[in-house]
Amino acid sequence: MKQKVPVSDLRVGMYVELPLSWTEHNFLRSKFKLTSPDQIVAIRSHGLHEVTVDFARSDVPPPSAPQALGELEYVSHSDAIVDPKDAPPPPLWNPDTLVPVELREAVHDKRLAPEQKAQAVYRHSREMMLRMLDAPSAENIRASKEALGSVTDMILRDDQTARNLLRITAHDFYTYTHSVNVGIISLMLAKALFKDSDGHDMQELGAGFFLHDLGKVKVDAAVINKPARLDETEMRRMRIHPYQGYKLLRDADALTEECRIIVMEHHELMDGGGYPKRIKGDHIHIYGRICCIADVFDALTAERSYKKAMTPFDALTLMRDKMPNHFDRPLFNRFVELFR
Amino acid sequence: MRRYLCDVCGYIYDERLGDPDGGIAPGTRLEDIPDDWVCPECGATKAAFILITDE
Repeated sequence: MKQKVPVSDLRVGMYVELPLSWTEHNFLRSKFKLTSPDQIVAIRSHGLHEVTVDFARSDVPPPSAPQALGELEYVSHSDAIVDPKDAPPPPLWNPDTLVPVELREAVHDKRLAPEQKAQAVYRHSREMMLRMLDAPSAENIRASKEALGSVTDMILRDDQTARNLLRITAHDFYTYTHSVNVGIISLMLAKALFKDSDGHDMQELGAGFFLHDLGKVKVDAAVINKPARLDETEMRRMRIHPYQGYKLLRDADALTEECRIIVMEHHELMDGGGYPKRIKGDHIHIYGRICCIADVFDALTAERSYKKAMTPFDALTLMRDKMPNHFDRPLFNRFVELFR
Repeated sequence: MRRYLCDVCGYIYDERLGDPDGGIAPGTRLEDIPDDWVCPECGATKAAFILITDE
C-alpha cells in the first residue's frame, strides 16, 4: 500500500521510497524506514516536496486511510500523529537504542563506495555521539565505546574510506561534531605513527579520541553554548572538562587507564602552558599529545559565530608559526604530512 | 583558617570544610594534604592553589 506523502507529513516509522537515484542523495539506500527526525530534515534539504511511503512496511498508519476514521478513537495515543511540539520528549537513550542501526550497517557494508561509506559512517557516528552526550550513563558510555571500536577498525583497515572521512569533517560548533572530527583526525595521525607497531591497542585508543570531550557534559551549558569567546571566569569553568571526563570513564570502568589519559591530557601543552596539570614535554602521554594537535586543528578549522573557519593550510601554518612550543614537533610534522 | 583558589578552574579549597569526598577531613591545612591529592573539579595539583584569604 503505497501513497504519496508531503514531506511535511513524514514521521519516524514510515518506510519511504525516494524519487532520486542513488547518486543524488546521501542515504545508504533509496528505500528505507525513517528512524530519526534528522532523516526527515535531510529529505527536506534535498528539495523534495513529497515522497512515496509504503505503509505496508511502515510502523505508522496512513494519515487518511478511510477505514481509520471510525477506528481513530481506538487508536492508542502513542500511535496518533501529533504535532512535533506536542510530541513526547525524545526517548531516553539506552545501550539498545544508542547505536544507530545505520552505523553498524555502513561500517560492515562491503559494497558501498568509499565516499558513500564515509558519509554514512560520519553522519551516524555524529548521531551516536549526540545521543551519548545527551545521556552519558556508564552503560551508554560502554555501548558507544564498543561501536567506536568498529569505526576505529574501519579507519585502520580501509584507507580510502578513512581519507574520505578526513575530507568530510563538517564544522559546526556542536561538541558531538567536534568529537567525531577529533576522533577521526587523531586516529589518522595514530595510524601513521603506529602502523608498524603492535604495542598499541588501537580500539581503545580510537574510543579515547572520540570520547576526549566527554567531560563537557559536566560544564554549564551556558558556557558550552556561548556564541562568543569565553571570558576568564567561563574559561575556568571550561577547564574542568578533561578531569571530569576522565572521572566519568573511570567510574564507567570504560577504556584502559592509558586511554583515559587522552581525555585527561588533551589540553596539556609541551611548554607546560596547558591544563589542568600543567605538565610538560614527555610527561604528557604521547596519546594526549596526538589528541592535542587534532583538537587545536579542528578548533581552528571550525566556524564560530565570532570567527571564520580557517582552511586546513592556514590552520597548519598558524600552528607552526604562532604556537611553536605547544606541540610535539615530530608528531606535528607527521600530522602535516597527512594533508599532503 | 585559610582559603585557596584553584588557579586552573576557580574551585576554592576552604580549610574549614576540607574535601571530604577526596578524603580530606575538615580543618586540614593545605600543606598537610598528601601531594597526590588533586582539585576535585579540574584535577589540578596542589601547586595550582593560591592563597586568597587568611583569617
